[in-house]
Amino acid sequence: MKNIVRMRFAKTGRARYISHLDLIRCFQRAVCRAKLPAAYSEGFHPHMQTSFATTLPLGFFSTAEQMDLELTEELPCDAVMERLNAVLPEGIRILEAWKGMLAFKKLAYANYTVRIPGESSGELYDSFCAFAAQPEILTEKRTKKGGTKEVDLKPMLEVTGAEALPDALELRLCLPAGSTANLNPMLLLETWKKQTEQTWVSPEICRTELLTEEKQKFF
Amino acid sequence: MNVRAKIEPLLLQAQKPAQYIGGEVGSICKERESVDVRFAFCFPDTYEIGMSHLGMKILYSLINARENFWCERVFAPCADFEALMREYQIPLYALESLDPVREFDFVGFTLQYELSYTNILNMLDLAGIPLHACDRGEALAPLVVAGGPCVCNPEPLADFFDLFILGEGEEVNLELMDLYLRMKRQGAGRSAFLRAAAQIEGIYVPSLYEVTYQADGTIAAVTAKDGAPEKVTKRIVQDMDKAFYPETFVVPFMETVHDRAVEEVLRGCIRGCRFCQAGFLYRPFREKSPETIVRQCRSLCDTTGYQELSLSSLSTSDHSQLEETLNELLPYLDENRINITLPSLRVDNFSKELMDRIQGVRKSSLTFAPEAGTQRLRDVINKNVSEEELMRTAGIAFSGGFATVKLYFMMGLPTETMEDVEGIVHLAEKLIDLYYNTPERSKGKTIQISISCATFVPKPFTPFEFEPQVSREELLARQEHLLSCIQPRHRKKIKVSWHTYEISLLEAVLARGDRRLVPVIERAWQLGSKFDSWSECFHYEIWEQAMADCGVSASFYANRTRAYDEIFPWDHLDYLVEKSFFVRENQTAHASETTPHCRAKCAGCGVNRRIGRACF
Repeated sequence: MKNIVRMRFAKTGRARYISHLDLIRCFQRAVCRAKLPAAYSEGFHPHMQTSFATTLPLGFFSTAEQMDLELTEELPCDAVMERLNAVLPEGIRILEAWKGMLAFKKLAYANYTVRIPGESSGELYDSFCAFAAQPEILTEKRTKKGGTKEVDLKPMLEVTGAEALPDALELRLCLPAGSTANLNPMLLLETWKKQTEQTWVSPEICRTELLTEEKQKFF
Repeated sequence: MNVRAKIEPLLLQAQKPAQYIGGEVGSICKERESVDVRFAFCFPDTYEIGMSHLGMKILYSLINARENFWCERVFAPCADFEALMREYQIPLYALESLDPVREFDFVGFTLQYELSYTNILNMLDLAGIPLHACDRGEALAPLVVAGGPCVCNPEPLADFFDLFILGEGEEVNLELMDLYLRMKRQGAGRSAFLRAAAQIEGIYVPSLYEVTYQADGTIAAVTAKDGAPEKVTKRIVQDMDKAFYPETFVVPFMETVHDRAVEEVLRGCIRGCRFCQAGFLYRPFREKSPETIVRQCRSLCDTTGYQELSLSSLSTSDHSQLEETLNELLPYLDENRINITLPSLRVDNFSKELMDRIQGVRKSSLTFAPEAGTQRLRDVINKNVSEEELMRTAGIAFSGGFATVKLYFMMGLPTETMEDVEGIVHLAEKLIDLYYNTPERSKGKTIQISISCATFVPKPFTPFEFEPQVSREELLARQEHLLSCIQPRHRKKIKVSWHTYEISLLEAVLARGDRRLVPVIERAWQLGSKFDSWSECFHYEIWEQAMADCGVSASFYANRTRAYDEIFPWDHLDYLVEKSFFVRENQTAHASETTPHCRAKCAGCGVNRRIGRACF
């Protein structure tokens, strides 16, 4: 039985601008600083055994990232969390640690909160609701091979909340975030922006929860 | 001004935004209100390059160790982010507080290479600080200062800086900041401060020196005024075991050029290669004890989490107790899965044992720097590496599985002939023969030899400071000859590359230039020069134009033989090595004679008399 600790962590503040590869390296160095007994792969160039549920697009906030760390000995999950939090940089915080149950490939959906700053949030609200109510939302999506293909975002879109605040429009979205289907909320927002000629810039996007195929809490 | 709010919406439009926002592990944030003196340490190149620089790490930690001082880091933005900064009027800011650099007390640049000079002007401009020291008024701040190796001849930058710091900064930087704080509290102005600062050993205030010229363009005299010393002497730390060294480094998020823990194991160099400026600038030779090295390495690795450690210096294998040090260090490194690298190993003491020690490192390629193709020319430059030693080491390496060799040479060295150029190819051919005569070589692999030829740049404070740089025509002829010497059957095994001649020419002009280059650098920057050390950004036409506009000739600075008794632009700066020694070494070079390394026999450079003790 492997000693694998699963951790949920937040990525906020200055740490939002760290790319995924840099984040992995950052965690591995933190494990070294914390002197945790990390497990390594076999072979000529052994790697520390860490894995991440999914990647977070550059610039997004998150309170719902998850990672696994394999150790060579059994340690209380809370102790691992505390030792890592003592050496992690500003903006990266482990919020809970436990023995993970589901394989990361079972990840299917994620919840997001989107905040679009602007005083005319009422107009933004109406515009977005009309946009989301269309029977289909066609857009160009870049493929891995470097080309583009047309996709319909409508079947992937679930709006779980929308509110016009005094200084911003706030949206709550549930979108596919697994390895087979994935929708970056930025693609959705850019499509809306292009269709309706909006002028807003730099929305704040926060991933708030990872979910299973059944849209249950991922753990 | 809230820079953070202005940059955050723009960061995602830039490549590698992590370099513009700080927040790394080990970076130090203090309360603005609780510090007395703020120092912006500026590296005039990108974050990726600058974050690898050891001097910045040392001085950053040194200043921040003082509770009431705060040192922050500043780098040159890449072109994409610079364009955004200019479009949205974002001033150059420091990475810790994200406050504009112009609000700091000290804006300190490190001068690591001549081709970064236009970046300095660009950064001052982005910061909104007047380029010329004389336009900064009587207010004390910001003081624009510089240190680093190129400060040994800072004359081409004289008008842009309030003062220069000569030599090692561990002590003098704090003395300077203490004086500043005292005078700030007294309400002193800039000129009074600069006069007082000039009295600190190692501080050179260029505005307190007047330069006059002869009719032939050489310097007539450099005269000190307002009580400034006639000669400014560089500072050194006496005892490397007691010198300040960081307990931790800032750990970048993004990958940088040298992304690892670095332990400086010694300072100075015993070798005396006659072309090498660092070998003379950093004298005397001083080592850290194995205990200090081990303690500092452990602290660095423990606090940064780096799994790569470099034992760094000009010539690490010259450390007299390297074996003991490695023996003490290895159990810790093994236990923590830390790889060790030993850069700048010399051919002559590269042993099989040492190679086994560093086996964790990937066996990729073997690098030698014979610098010259024949023994005669290696004697001239005092690169005391013999062909037999090189072949012996290569043989060990070939039987150990290496099949790629990089060879570094310089072309245009003093006294170089076509025979020396042919020698480069002969050396490569002998390596090919050796490879195929080594029974234990990697079977099935073809040997690859890359020959990289730099153009020799004569530098101040070396025995070659008197020498002309080779002309373009002559260099091209030698390059062509080199290529023609490679036999067709070897063409696939030997690859040759060289640097653009004009880059080396500009380096030569700036390295030995005087104050008449001040307007040239400014003009080149106005015409768009920056990142000159990046060949894709280098445009010699701009520099030609700038020199023409200012009535300055490159050949006067680069291609002229200088008399032994000529007054050089840097003669009023004292790096502890006597000029008479450089003259003697120059004569010895022209006689094709070598000088033994310092440990074997004192060469009489004068440093020991100045520090009042024997070097060894």
